[in-house]
Order: sequence, then structure tokens, then C-alpha cells
Amino acid sequence: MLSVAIFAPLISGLVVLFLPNRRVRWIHSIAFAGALIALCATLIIAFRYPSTTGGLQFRTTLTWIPAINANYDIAVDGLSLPLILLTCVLLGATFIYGFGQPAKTKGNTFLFLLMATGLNGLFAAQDLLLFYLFFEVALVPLYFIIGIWGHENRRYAAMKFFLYTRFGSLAMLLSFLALYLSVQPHTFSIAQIAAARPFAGGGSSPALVLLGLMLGFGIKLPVIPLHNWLPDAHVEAPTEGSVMLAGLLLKMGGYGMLRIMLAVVPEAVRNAAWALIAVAVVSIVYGALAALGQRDFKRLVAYSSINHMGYVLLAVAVYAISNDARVRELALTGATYQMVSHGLLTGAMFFVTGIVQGKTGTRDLDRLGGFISGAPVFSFVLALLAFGSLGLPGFSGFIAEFQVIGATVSVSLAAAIIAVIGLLINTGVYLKVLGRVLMGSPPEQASPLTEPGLLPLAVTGSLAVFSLLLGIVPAVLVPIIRGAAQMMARL
Amino acid sequence: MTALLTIVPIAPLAAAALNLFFGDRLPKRGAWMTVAGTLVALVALLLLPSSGVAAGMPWITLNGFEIGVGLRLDRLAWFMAVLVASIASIVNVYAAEFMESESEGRPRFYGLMALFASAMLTVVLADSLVLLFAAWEIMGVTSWGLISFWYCEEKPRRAAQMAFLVTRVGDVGFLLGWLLVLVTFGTTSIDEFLSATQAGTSTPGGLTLIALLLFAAAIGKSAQLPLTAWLPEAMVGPTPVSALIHSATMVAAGVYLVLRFYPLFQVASHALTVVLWVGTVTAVFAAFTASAQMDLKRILAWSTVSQLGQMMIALGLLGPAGALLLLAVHAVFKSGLFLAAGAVERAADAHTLLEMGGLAGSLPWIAAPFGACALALTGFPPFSGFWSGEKILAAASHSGLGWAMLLITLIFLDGVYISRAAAGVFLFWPGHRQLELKRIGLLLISTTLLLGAGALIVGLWLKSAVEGVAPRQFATEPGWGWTISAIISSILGLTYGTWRVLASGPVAAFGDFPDVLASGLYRATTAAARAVLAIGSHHWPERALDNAARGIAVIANQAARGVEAIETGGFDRGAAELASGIWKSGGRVRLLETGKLYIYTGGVFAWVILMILVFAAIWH
Repeated sequence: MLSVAIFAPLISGLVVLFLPNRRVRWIHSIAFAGALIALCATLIIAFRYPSTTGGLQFRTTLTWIPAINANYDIAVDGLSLPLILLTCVLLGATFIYGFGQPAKTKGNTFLFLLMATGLNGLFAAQDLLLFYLFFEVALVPLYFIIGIWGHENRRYAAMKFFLYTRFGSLAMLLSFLALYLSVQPHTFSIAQIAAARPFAGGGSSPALVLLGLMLGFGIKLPVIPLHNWLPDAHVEAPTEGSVMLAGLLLKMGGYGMLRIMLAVVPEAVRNAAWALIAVAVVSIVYGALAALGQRDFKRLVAYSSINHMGYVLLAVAVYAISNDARVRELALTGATYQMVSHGLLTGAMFFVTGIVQGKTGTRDLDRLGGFISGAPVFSFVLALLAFGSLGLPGFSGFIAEFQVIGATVSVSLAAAIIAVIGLLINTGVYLKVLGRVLMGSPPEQASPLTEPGLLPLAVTGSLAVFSLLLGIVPAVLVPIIRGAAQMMARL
Repeated sequence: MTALLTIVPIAPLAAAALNLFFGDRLPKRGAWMTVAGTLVALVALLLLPSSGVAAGMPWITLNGFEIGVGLRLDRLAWFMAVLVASIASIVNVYAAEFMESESEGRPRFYGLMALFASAMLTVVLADSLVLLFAAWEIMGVTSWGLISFWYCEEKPRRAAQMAFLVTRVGDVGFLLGWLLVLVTFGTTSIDEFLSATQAGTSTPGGLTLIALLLFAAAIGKSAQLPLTAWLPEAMVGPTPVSALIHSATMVAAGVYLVLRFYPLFQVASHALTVVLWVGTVTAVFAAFTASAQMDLKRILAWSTVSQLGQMMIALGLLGPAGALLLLAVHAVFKSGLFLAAGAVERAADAHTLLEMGGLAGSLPWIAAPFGACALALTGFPPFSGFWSGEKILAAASHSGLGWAMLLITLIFLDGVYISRAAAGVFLFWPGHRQLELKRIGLLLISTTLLLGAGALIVGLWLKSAVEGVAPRQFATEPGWGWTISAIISSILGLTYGTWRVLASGPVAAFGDFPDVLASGLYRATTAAARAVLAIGSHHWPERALDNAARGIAVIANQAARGVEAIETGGFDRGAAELASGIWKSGGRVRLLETGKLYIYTGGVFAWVILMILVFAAIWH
């Protein structure tokens, strides 16, 4: 069942490739069917997932490259299942959004499907080499999506994106190889490496392995100062590409930290925890500050992603440093919740930037305005998303942030205070968005502002409703995450 | 009973949802829906017993923590909830007529008013810190949405942003506070937390910290110094909003929060000292500022700040009953004052004292309730404010001569600024304008009259109610001497304020210095926000990172060429190429923008080779 969720997008993507480009309707339907099958498979898994026992479920282990003991080993638990669900939801959302847009070529559609396979595979992989493979599979399509279908400066942004993440993934691969070599018998299995604790002792090698992993995951998350690729990539990417990038590709970094970094080199993370806390709170504050200074709506949302993802690293560091199992569990649940919540809210926010640009032809906040009078329903959705993004109770972001900050309070009040300063600045960021986009008078243009079509409204509105649902009834997701968090917290 | 209790916040919430989604199809664009929502809440409260009902459920269950949401009725909560629901019902009836001339946005207005009532009732009734915090923040959102009701203009937009941001400064303190409670006591239940503080097992330092963090939220919402500047600015919103949210209820929630956690503050006495001094400085500062304002609503706003400061003083002087009584009577007379101000605004189409004057004859049914509320404000017997003044004086005289003198002074200042406002609007002063008045409707007049009558009569009744409700107050009656001093002080203040206006028009009662201070505070607040914005607008860190990344890529690229040269043309040429390449790389930074794939790939491979060499060196 899990393999279906992983490979259904790829298979439908291959089918799409054999269709002629003019069969737009066919391409759309088959691509959407692929997304839908993956979503259904994941939902079945989610409903059958035994949240009381937790742990890795739906495991499939096949021999892949026997010579080096690499296996096709996939399974899900509370950390990965929510992210696989998120992948399927956002993939479906981009396709629904795409129905209302000018027709895309089959190549474009194929790349999105390929990316989804990479992401789902990555979230399910229990083998480091398989993880690396899926990491690259998820990465490469976006390079082409930005480079071919992006905005004016697309080639530069695509190259920058690709180089940064390649750099990171190669550093990560080196760390994987070091881990592989350090365990007897050599293995890529995460569980076996975690059990063997190869780098529990002191010395410089655990730190180097951690450095490699941090480069790989930290560039992806991204953390300050490895974030420089992100704003350019977002600004130049097409709307759907931005949604996938912010909503899902950033989570590869956060998920890698939780799944791999904390499992294989916990002692090294613990030793470096204060440095990581510092990086995290700097990311939280810096991301919000930089977002506040932007005039470009899309760039603003991109920087505010750095603020949001900073909480994930903060949770990882607090997890590593705390001795209290309750606090560790709180941190892990918060980090996972934050990834899902950010995927929904910021994914939707990037749809919004696309809609606003489509309506007015600009993303310049100084020239936008007056959406309330022209497009009240859209304005309402944007207001929901903005308040969700600034951490208002009732939305999923609040649940995530209070858990992470709560865990932080028990470790260091100072770090928590800096984090809430970032929260405050981020409040200013989204109030600025609301003030500039919704209020004031509309930009001078020939046609008055109107509501976007039904499809864009449905996509952004449903994502906002998902976020509200997760914010008001956290019990729909928390039990699934809790099982995994408990198991890890006891380690 | 449990169901009835949950109806209290849910009825206005349902009204809000109906208004926001279907308001255009409802009669009066949803005005009566909002009134109905708050009335249902009020009736439900009156049907409920005044304590002993609770409703709750677990919300997030983790291994170590049980985070619950729930409502709980005790006498304090019941009293406060009835007060909120009553004032909200009256103001919403007023708003049904006041907002009728708006062509657009009325469903949004009524929806947000109902949402506010729901959030405020939840704050009052919450038994869970997380639910209290959530409703607290949602109140802030409704306040933001209502201040910016006229969103096309610049001023309301800015005022709304300021209100939300400044109050959120306090709110994040609250967030840290309740999270600290969660991780140290393992609970979010207010009752459990308060009984744990009484057990004596926790350190006083930790409790003081929690109390101060909670008080930060009270400072923000109740506009105490230094988070004051937003409240006068918020007056650009529609007047019913000012009457309900920015004077009677939401801003008093800060005082209610301290009352709710009063057992904690009693244990953490240092925090109570902070409450006392913040209240003192704010009350004096705001009373002086009110005496120098020209805009009628801004006078009332500064008066609200001052009165909230007096409630904080009462809390700090171990007089919680006095604070609660003042909160209750203030809610009645201040919303009455605002409704009268709104009626004047509608009739005369004027906002500042300089544009008004001599309206007593033409608007007697507005002048009379305004006068009654003004007398209540100065604590003139038998108006309602007298009874709360007595209670606070009792606590103050018990604490020391200085505190009692402070309160007598504050009563004098209250008298000065409110009589100046009343005389400026309603009496004939030299040089006042002749105004053409528009007719105002029956609902405006009747609701204002109702609250004016309330300001006259509810004092004694509320006093007996409060005595059974508030945390026990040590001293309940001041001596005769203090009572007479207070009355004399209020008469002096009223006389001085009226005389100033009659003699020289509505000039600042004590000169302009308070206004200079107040605008300094405003400038400091906006400057803080602007400084943060300015820091964020510096793009040099980003550019520096950009250039660093480019530099690395170029160097790697040149290194790759060097290596390539070694392969093809021997070491010497290769080394020379490498050196000159790196030397030139500064000038070649722009090369990266050409987008030639092979250059980048070369760079990456060079980097990989380098890393492998490093690793190999470490391994052996």
C-alpha cells in the first residue's frame, strides 16, 4: 500500500509522457488520478495506522543492491505519515489550481509527479542510500520547473537553487558514507545504525558527520546563513513550483533532522545543541526581520518561511538537550506539527501570491490594495491565511509554535524570549500584508478587481480550512504523531 | 447545566458566523442577529446558578501533558460575564442604528462585534489557560478588524495595526507565562494551577516570574504604560466599538486577568508591587493627558486609561473588591459616555470640543445621561462611582496616607477633565459655534438614557453583589474624613473644569505639557516599530551572503580549471592557471549569472574532490 502511495504519481507521470501535448484534458485527468490514488492509499494507511502502538508500520523490505547491503526498505510512522499526506494533498491542490490556468505541457506535469514520488519515497525510506536517491529525485524536477517555466531571472535562480542543494546533498552523502563505513557489518539501515551508535564517543568525527548532515538538511530547511538560495528560487519559480518548494521540499530538511540526525548521531547533536539553538533563534528572528523589509509579496512569504522553519530546528535542538521525556515529546510533536502546518498555510499563501499577481500584474506591496471591496471572499481567505501564519490560536500554526516554545521554555527562557520576539515581528509582517493587499484603494488598472475563479478560491480556502481544522481539533493528527514522538523521546 | 454554560459563548459565535457569511441577506444586515446572540448569552447566564457549573474536555493529550479546554462558572466569572453580556447587548442595539448609514461592510461589522462578545465571554469563563489565551488573542483580532472598519483610509489602518501589535507585545508575555505554568506544573487548568501555588512547594521567584508574564498581557490589553499609545489611536474606529471594546469590556480584561489570578499575585507580592506602580504612573499620566485633549473621544479614551490605572492601584493595594466594583461601574458609565459622544457626533457631525458647545438645550436627552455618567466618573454621591471610590479609598487609607492622598488627587483630576468635556460640549462658552443639528433616532437616545440611568442607580446594587464575589478585601470602609475629602475633591475638580471652559473656552486645563508627553509616547511607540522595519529593510546581509556564495563558486570554478590544466598541460602551467584564476575571481563574480551549466558542474565536482580528500585525510 505504501509503495502505491509512492509510485502512483510516477506511473501516471510516465503515462502522461506518452500522450500527445494537445490532449490537455487527458493529461490533466491522468495526472490528477495519480495524485488521487496516492492520496487514497495514504488515507487508507492513515486510517489503519495503529496510533496506540505507534512505531514503524506498513514495512516493505526488498533487497536492492546486495553488494553494498542497500535495501529498498520503506515504512511509515507518526513522523512520516503526516508529511506523506501533506504531499498528496498539495500535489492534488496544485493540479486543481492548474485546471484553471493556461494549459501546461506534459513535461511540466510529469516533473511535478516525479517530484511527488521523490518526496513520498523520501518520507518513507528507512535506508540511507534510498533516502539519498529519493532526495535527488525530489530535487532535480524543481530545477527544471524553475529553469524552464519560471519568471524573468529564472535560469540564475534555478542554478543557484540547484548548486546550493547539490552542495548540501553531497555533504549529506559523505556523512551517510561515513555512517555506512563505521558500522560492522556495513549497512545503510537507519535503525541498525541508530542501534549501533557508531559515533557515541568523542572526537572530531561525530562532529564532522553532524556537520555534513547539517549542511544537507540545513540548506534545505533552510537555516541562516544557508538560506540565500530560497528567496530567489521562490521569486522566480512559477506559482505551483513555489507551493511545492515551500510546502514540501523544505520539509525534507526538517524531516531528515528528525528521522536521521537525531537517530544516528544523538550525542553529537546534544553536544552541539546550544549552537543549534542559537542558529534556530537567529533564523526565527532574521527570517521575520528580512520578511518585514520586503516589498515583493512573494519574497516576503519566502523569508517568513525561514522564520517558520526555524521552529523545527529549535525543536530538534531542544529535544537533544532536554532530559525530560515529556519535554522531548512536546518538542517532537511541535516540530512535526509545524511542518504540516507550514505546508498548508504557506503553500496556500503562495497560491495567493500567484492569484494576486494574476489579478493585478504586480507583486509590489506598495502598489497593491483594495481587495476587500473588489474580492471580499478572497480577502476573507487571505485574512484567514495571514492570521494562521502569524500564529493566531485556532489555526494549526499556533498548536505547533506553542509546543515548540513550551519545550524551549523548560530549557532556556532566554531562547524562548528571542523566539517570541520573532513571533512578534512575524505578526508585523502579516499585518503589513493585510494592510497593503486588502485595505486602501485598488491599484490603478483598466479592469476593477474581482473575485478569482472558483478553483483558486476552492484550493486556497480548503487549505485554510484544513489549517483551521488542525488548529481547533488537534486530536485528528496528534495521536498519530504522538506514537512516534514517544518512541523517540524514550531513546 | 453544562449545555447551558457552553451556549453562553457559542450563541454569539453562531451569530458571528451567520453575519459574516450571510449577513447581506439578514434583516438590518445582521444587526439584530448580533443583538440576539448576546441576549441569548445573557439569558443563559441568568438561568445558570452563579457558581459550581463546569464544562471541559481534553484537547491535546500527550504522554506527559494533558492540555484541556473548558469553561467554569464561579461567582466572579458569573458576575463579569453578566456585565459583559448586558453592556454588549445594549451597545449592539445602539449600533443597529448608529451604523445604518454605512453603505458597505455592515455584515462584517456586526459579525466582528458578535465574535468579540463570544471571545470576551470565553475569556471570562475559561477554566483553561490555553483557552483563555486563545480567546484573548481572538479579541485582539476583532479589535483590529473593527478599528480598521473604514479600511480605505490611512489612519484607521495604521491605528488597527498599532493596536494589534502593541497588545501582542503583552500577549507573548502571556504565552511564555502559561507555557511556563504548563512545563512546571504540568497543567493548563487555572484552578489546579492556583491551588498548586497555594501549596507552598514552588519557589517565590518562579511564581513572581509567572505573575509578571501574565501581567504583561494585562498591561497590553488594558493600555497601561508603556503599552498605552494604541488606545487613543483606536478611537478612529466606529463609536460603538469604542464604547464596547475599547472602554467597557476588552480593555478591562487586563484587570479581570489579575483578579482571576489574584491568589497567585498575593503569593508573589513583588509582582503586586509592580501592578501598583504601573497603575499609579499610568493613572496620573493619563488623567493629566485627558485634561489637554481636544477630541471628545480621545478625552474619554485617556480617561479610560486613567480609570484602568486606578483599578490596578486598587489591586496593588490589596483591594480587589474595589477594583472589581470600579470595573463594573466604569463599564456602565464609560460606555454611557461613549454612546452620548457618538450621538453628539451623529447629530452635530463634529468630533472636537472646539467645533461644539451649547448643545444642552438642543440635545437634552443626551446631555442628561452624559452628565449622570460624568458625575459617576468623579465619584459624586449617590452616583455609582461613589461606591467604588469608597471601596478603593478604604484599601488605600489602610495602606498609608500617601496612597489615600493619591486617590483624592486622582478624583480631582477626573472631575477636571470630565467637566471640561461636558461643559465644552453642552454649555455655552465664549466663542462657541452655532451648529446645525441632524435628527438622531430613538434607539440612540434610549440606549444612552438607559446607561445614564444605570450610572445613577446601579452603584449600591453592584456594591452588594461585588462583596459576595471578589477575593476577600481586608478593609471595606474608609473613615468619614476620607469620604468627605473625596466629595470635596470631586466638587473642586468639577468646578475648576467647568469654570475654565466658561471663562476661556475648551483650552487645556493645565497647559499643554501632558499632551506633549502623550505625543512623545506615541512617537516612541511608532519609532520602535519603525526601527524594526528599518532593520528589516537593510538588505546588505543578504547581498553579502549572495556575494560570498558567488565568490566560493567562482573560486571552485577556477580551481577546476586549474585541475583541468594539470591534467592536460602539466603541473607548472596548471598551478599558474590556478593562481591567476583565483586572483581574477573577484572580477569574475558576474560570470555566475551567465548560467553556463558546465562551469557550475565543474565547480561542484571540484568541491566534491576537495571534500573527499579532507575525509580521507581524517580517516587515516
